[in-house]
Amino acid sequence: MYRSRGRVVGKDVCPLSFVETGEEAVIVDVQAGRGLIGRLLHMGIYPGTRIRVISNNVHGPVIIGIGEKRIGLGRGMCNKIIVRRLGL
Amino acid sequence: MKEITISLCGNPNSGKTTIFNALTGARQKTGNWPGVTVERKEGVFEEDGRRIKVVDLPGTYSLTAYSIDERIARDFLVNERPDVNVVITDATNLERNLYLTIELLEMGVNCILDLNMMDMVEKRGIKIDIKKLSASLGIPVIPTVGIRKKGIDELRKAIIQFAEKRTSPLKIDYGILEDSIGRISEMLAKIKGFRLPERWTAIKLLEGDEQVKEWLLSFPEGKEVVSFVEDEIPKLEEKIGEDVESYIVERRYGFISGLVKECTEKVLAIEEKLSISDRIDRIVLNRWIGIPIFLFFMWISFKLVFDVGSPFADYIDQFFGFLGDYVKKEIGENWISSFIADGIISGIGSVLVFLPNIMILFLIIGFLEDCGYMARAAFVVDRLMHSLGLHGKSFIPMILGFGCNIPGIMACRTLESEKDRILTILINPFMSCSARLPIYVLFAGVFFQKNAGTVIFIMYVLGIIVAILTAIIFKKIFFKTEVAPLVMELPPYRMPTLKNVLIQMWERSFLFIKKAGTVIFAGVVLVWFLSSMPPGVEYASKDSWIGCLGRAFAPIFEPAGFGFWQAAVALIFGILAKEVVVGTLGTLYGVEEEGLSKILPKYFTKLSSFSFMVMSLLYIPCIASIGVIKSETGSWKWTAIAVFWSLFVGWTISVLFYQMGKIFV
Repeated sequence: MYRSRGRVVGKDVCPLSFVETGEEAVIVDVQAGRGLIGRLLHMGIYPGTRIRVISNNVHGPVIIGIGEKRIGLGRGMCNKIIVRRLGL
Repeated sequence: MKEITISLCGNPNSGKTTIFNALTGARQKTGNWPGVTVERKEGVFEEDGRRIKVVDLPGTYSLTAYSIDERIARDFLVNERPDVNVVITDATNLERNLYLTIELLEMGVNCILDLNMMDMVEKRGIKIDIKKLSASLGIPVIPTVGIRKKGIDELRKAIIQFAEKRTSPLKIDYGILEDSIGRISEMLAKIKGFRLPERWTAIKLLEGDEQVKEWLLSFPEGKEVVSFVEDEIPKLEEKIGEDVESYIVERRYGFISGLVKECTEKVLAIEEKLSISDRIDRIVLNRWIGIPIFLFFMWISFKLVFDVGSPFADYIDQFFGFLGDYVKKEIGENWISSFIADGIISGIGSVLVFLPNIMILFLIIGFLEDCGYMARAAFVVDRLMHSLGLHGKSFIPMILGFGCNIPGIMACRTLESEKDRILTILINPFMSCSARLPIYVLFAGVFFQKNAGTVIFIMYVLGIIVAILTAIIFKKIFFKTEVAPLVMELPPYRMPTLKNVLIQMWERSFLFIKKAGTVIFAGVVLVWFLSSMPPGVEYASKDSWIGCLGRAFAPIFEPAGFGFWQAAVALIFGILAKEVVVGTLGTLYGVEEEGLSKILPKYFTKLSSFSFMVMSLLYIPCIASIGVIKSETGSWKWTAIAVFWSLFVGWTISVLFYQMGKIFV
């Protein structure tokens, strides 16, 4: 639905790094190698997961909340996770 | 009428004790669970003319039987089968707390769910639909506020009403696993006398539960089932692409989060939904103040290590001094007493003197790990690490390296990328391990008295700087690819338990003591032997074998300001283990550490003592570290690079410091 020849398209779809503090979003794609995808899955980060951005300041890590769980993502990682924004 | 037995269980900090007290009042007795020192509490109350015995089970998060507490709780529920089990949950953290409830329900335990701390739930603006939750789980759900005894009467009534009923086990859909679960259950159903619920047993077997396996193996037909399960697991893992245990856990959490979503409603704005942990994270992980906070913690830590540890060190020192004198007096002056007093006692003594400092260091590392800050620190430094060609996770091995490079190097296994891992291993020996601390404590203490703490801090920082420069250089030469991105779970901040921190401290410090007893012991004996040879020579004099060895190497250290044979010998033996440096100096000068502080100023100046510390910090990884580098990188090439690079860097930098210092001072 969001994929078209490997590229993600759609309304409000953007990399996680664009999502601001306090916003909620749904993961639509993880653009990474097999190993990394597996690891993220294990932590509960996979397409369909609803997340909340707990903190995102320009150069620091992004902290996301999945339920009560908090996961920190390095800057580079945030560009590989594609989400659909749900707003505040 | 028959007495009712009920049990209370729940996660730690869910208010289990307050509920227990509210139910039973003062009618309690405490004792231990059979065979273990875990406290067992029992109490009674009466309701509707019935006597109800309450057994308080240890607080647990799950029923995996990994810990003693969990095993006690599970054994009780399986063997003694209470009429009702009340699960006490912290309703403000329902998702996490429900895990235990779900496990109990899967096991077919007759449960009542107590949603405790309901006042906090309301304060946080969360609404829980109690009726819906109760209907979904098929058990009574009672809201309470333990500290104000709210809801306790309702809880009592529910216990009486529910005591005679039986709940059928909860069924969670395990997707791909269902087929296997079904087949295992069928096999279990055929075993005569096996009274555990089949489905639950099948799931536990797939989860790899050792205790359930043991129970099963006590039946003759059990073996067949166990081997079937063992064949099944790899096949399933092939299908699901991860290990079966985490798959099961995920499915359970999946079920719970669906349930919680159905039954709760959050009505507050996002800002107010932030937990304290999140608020702390916003400060601690802030891009401007994150690093200063981090440095502050590090500085405080090393200050504590030195300031708190040293008085204790003095006592140990006095003890070994006394012991040495005593031995010499009792045996008389001959080679045996010299071996015992000068060799063993002064050698081991000058190492163990630093045990207090090392214990405090491990105490602090344990504290930072347990309270949750260590995981944050990886993020604080991640950006910096990235710009240096390292990974945020490289940081934890580096911090561990402050304790000992060996666990530090081994901790590099958590890095997923091979290249990131090798690079982190190679720079680890520059992290100043606790074995090098005795050298600084001695020299800084003697030559920089009041500023000793600061000088020691400089050593640690210097180690980090060299590690960073090494990383940059190696990255340019050997590893030209990009660093893997950082993803890590951030556990909520919490106050570490004293017990946990102490246990960790003890386990790590014990490694040091063991080393003092083996490698270091061998080192000091060797030093003593070389110092006493050839026969008839004055102990540890210029003409002893060790003196010759030292004189051969001494000129190399001349440009660094300590070109005398004692220093050379100490450094050579330091390759065995860095702790030996101080011990060797003690032996060579024939004094205890106390005496060293008087003798050293005759040989060293402030400046040369500094360059000696720099040399000790950098010049080579100890023999054990070299061994671990080889086994972890699996390559002699990297091992050789680590050794020769550090020899080169150590000599160059300490000479640089000394020569530059001479110009300015």
